[in-house]
Amino acid sequence: MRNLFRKLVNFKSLLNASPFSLINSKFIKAGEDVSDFFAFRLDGFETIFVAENNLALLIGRHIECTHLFNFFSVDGVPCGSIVVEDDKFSYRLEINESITNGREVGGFTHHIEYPDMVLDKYSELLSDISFQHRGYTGFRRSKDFGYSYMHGNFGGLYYDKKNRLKSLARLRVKHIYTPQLVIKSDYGYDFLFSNPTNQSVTIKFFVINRNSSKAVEKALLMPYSTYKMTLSSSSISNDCNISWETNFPIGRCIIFEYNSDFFDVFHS
Amino acid sequence: MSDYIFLVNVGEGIKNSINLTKFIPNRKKSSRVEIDFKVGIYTQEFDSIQWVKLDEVEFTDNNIILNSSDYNLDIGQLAVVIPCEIDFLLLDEYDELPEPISRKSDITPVNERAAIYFYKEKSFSSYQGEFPYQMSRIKGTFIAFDSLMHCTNKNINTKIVFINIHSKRLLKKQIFYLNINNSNSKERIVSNKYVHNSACIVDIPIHNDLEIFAYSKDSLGIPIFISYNNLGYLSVEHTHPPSELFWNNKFKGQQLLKQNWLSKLP
Repeated sequence: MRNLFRKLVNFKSLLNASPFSLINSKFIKAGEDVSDFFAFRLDGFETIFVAENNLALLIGRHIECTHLFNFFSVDGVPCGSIVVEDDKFSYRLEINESITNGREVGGFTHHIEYPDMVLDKYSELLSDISFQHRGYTGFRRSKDFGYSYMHGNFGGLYYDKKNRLKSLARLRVKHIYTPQLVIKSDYGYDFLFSNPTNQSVTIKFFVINRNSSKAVEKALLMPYSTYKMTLSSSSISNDCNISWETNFPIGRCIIFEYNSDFFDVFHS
Repeated sequence: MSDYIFLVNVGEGIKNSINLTKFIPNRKKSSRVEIDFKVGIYTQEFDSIQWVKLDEVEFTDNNIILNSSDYNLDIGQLAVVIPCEIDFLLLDEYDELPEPISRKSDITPVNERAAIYFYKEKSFSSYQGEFPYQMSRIKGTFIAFDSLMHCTNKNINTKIVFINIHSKRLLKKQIFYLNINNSNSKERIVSNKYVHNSACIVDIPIHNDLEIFAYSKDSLGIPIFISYNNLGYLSVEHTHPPSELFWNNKFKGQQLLKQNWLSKLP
């Protein structure tokens, strides 16, 4: 009886920490195509996305595929899509405002379709494998520079047979995320959050000085929305740390660290 | 699960630093907020199997910042940073590295990372990274594709910095090879030697639209791609392991992928 109780407590603890639906993840069909929820920004930045051709990478040679990109506004409303045929191991999509219908900031997904002939040929290989798309997003402020890249994001999004967007990502009990980062008083910071779930979620930000923690901002993210929180150098008096509280078991975001000349982007 | 961090000298005036905080990186709201620990910093010469202590650092405030330039590392030499309990006695030498402590306070996911920065003059780039302890205990193979290499052109240089850490006792230092091949013809473009517990640094030849990949049949490792030019551009990121291409059956997928690529190569 004590063992059963312990197992139930452990299961509850695991459930409260799991970023994805345990049941749906276990039963998702092989062949389903899952994407992270990526972010783009065109507000003084250019964004590029490196989309991988998973089957080509799996078998080691070029395979014809269709890359499908779906874009969402900051509010989580679909705002554009683009379809690209390619056969190489990876494809680089330059995201611009004609693709996003004028939206400067938002999110997007990447999915792949293969011709029936290809699926038939590799049916045995694909019988118990599903692909996920994590990719690499690059940002730059000037054409004189190359892109600064970051890998993947949090997600678990797929389209069902009726072409409805579904999410395997789940909200759980409140979690606190603290990147291993010193916020420097002479730099500015943008924190870009994506909500890959079909529920609204609240984020509270805290700046941590030597022995104290102060709430600085609170925001509500609608389903599939993107939110940018800015911490300008004028609002930071000393080097400090930052945390945020959400119901995401992994509340990671994209962090831009910059001064007037240079910037860096990384995944928290 | 626990993690090492590392410092490395990659040459070309590129310096490396890491930031660690005492705050638990990811936790339930109800869990402990911070953890008090210290770090030991160890290195292994290219021709030695002994780990030698370089430093031992405790928190004086909420953050520890370590710089590669403080440890007189040769190009390709690693300094391994080991988070450990405050009262843990760090010896001057080891033949097997101590296991890093876990910096978690509950079972929430996310590895125990540090901010790993690279600087070239005033430009900078970073990622949140680590070297998992479990990965340092096993042999394996490595493959990475060129998703982060396409921007190579005559003005931008790209290096792969391939980090390998073996925490177990070594009987001798072995010579390994990191190879860069054409993804289509599979022909070799360049191959560089490395040894246990070092960083193999390979300059990617200018390749325009050529698709390339990197592999080693000798060891696991973490590939860091550093792209830079002389105008102040610097970008650092690591690629996903191939298992991340798959949602379910990740490790079967990775095994098949490696089999399909590596079986055709010397």
